[in-house]
Amino acid sequence: MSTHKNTRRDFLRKSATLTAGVTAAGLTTVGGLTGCSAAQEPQSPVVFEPGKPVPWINWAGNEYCYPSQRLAPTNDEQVADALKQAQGVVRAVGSSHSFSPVVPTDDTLVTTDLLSGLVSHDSELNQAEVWAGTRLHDLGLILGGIGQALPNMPDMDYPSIGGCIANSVHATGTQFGSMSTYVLGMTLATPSGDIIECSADKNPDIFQAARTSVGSVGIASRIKLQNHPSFNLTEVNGVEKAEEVLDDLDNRFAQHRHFEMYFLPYSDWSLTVATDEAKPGDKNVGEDDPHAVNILRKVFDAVTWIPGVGEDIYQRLIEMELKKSAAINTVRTGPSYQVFPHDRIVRFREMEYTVPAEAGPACIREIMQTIRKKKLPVCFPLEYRHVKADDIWLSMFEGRAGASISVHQFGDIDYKSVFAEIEPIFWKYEGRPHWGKIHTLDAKRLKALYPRHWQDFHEVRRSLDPSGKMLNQHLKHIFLG
Amino acid sequence: MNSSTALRSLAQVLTIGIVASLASVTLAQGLTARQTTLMVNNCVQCHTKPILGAPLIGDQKAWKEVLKKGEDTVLRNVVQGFGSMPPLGYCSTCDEADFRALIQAMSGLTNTATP
Repeated sequence: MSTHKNTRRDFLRKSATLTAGVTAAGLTTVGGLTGCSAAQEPQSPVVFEPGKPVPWINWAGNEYCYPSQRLAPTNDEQVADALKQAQGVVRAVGSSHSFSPVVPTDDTLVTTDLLSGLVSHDSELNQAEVWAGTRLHDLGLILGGIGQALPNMPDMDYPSIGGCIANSVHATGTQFGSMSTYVLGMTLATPSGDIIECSADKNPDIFQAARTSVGSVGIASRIKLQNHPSFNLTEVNGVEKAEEVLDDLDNRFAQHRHFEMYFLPYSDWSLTVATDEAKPGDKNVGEDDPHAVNILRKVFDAVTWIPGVGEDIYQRLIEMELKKSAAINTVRTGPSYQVFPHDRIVRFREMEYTVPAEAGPACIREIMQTIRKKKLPVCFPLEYRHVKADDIWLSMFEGRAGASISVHQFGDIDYKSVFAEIEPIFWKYEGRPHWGKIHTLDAKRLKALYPRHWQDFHEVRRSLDPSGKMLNQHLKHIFLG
Repeated sequence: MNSSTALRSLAQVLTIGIVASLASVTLAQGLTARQTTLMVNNCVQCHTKPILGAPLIGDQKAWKEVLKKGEDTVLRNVVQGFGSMPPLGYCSTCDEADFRALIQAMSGLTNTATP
């Protein structure tokens, strides 16, 4: 194992200082690699003027719509009424964090901001029923107040719990399934406006479909969760040689409650994040830096444009600083709902596929080699996580443990060209795309990735929504072809 | 306690877990209970964290600087997104009146309509 460890923040900051005196004036490609800084995408996909209709726009700014009707229910009955009375295509929205066009509709948008908070709880069983629009950043606090905690959480807490369940949102840890696996039951308003309860015992087929439905079988108003007793975590961040970590990957996942790593394009180094239950005496060391990725971008842009040698200089700058650095890891410790999430203030677009866990290392190696070989203009770290298998019909983890690999591009740069080069690699490894992230697969290809339950799911979906009321253009593409 | 301090205190209280009781809360600054819920579910997650750089709830000095651009410009930035500020500030429910009320309430300023 490498002995060169440092804080993520120091690592990036020190790398940035090395660029002093190196200008990024020549961002055009001169036989080298194009830098990232030249913004190609507007801040917003549409222009808003006061007094005019307010558009809906997603977090990443790559999707928008102008719904003719926007409804904000506050209880089960209002959700059902919204569905009963709505004309045209109905879609629901949580925090708007999906990158794929799962939300846009010109007709009826049902917002869930007002469906928020705790409904009831059972302290003995560590179970809680919450409104589906509850944001994870509120949910952590709410559950903490009753001595409970989600077993696992993503690395950001902006989404609503309803949105997480609809799309099988997940975190990392070989002993933990996606958030959909925590669900014990749901109160669901069907597309026809009926209110039904579903669980493993009650309407079990509808439950199986609703646990990951991309919002196609109605709108969940309440969700009952199986939680854990409150617990504290300690997260340790490090910088290590990527190949050394990959060679030791099974041990890392086995040794830690949660483990993930970030691969740095054009570098042999990676960032590692190991998280375990906190021990007495654990203390914070350093601090998270939500701006860090922008610093990486500056370093990348400052040197990689140099013809022929830019990538090598970039790699050497990073490595040289690491070798000088002291072995100090950034440590964050505290209640689980504060340690799991990180602040996200750098806008990006994301594509994620989940490949069989055992194929993960080969897949990420091929992606990193392709980025170098094709000189793809990307410096945003790629995220690598493992998730336990489950039995949910349209879950990316159905029937197999998964390695989820996420590719990002900054929000002001065209992502399509880079994603187009990388997406076929995921296909080679039988990757299943994240429902809420960018991909290009249609129903025919998705059906082949879910051979066991694609038909089961669609029988339930058609029985609940025979007219396709919940299907916008994107859902027609992924479900009907 | 002045109004901005009161609002900041309220936001801190709300963010430490009394989210479920919001239905009965109405802010003195003119927010309805509904708008207060929208603020807690969306705005407070960034506007109460100094490290993120967003003007903090009740920080009149910071908001005066922001509002030098005029409330209409701030409104455009809120809807379209601006720098790290996500489009709509995560609030898909909010209409123009909601956004204006939230800007005014979070700024702690009584009149934000003119620069």
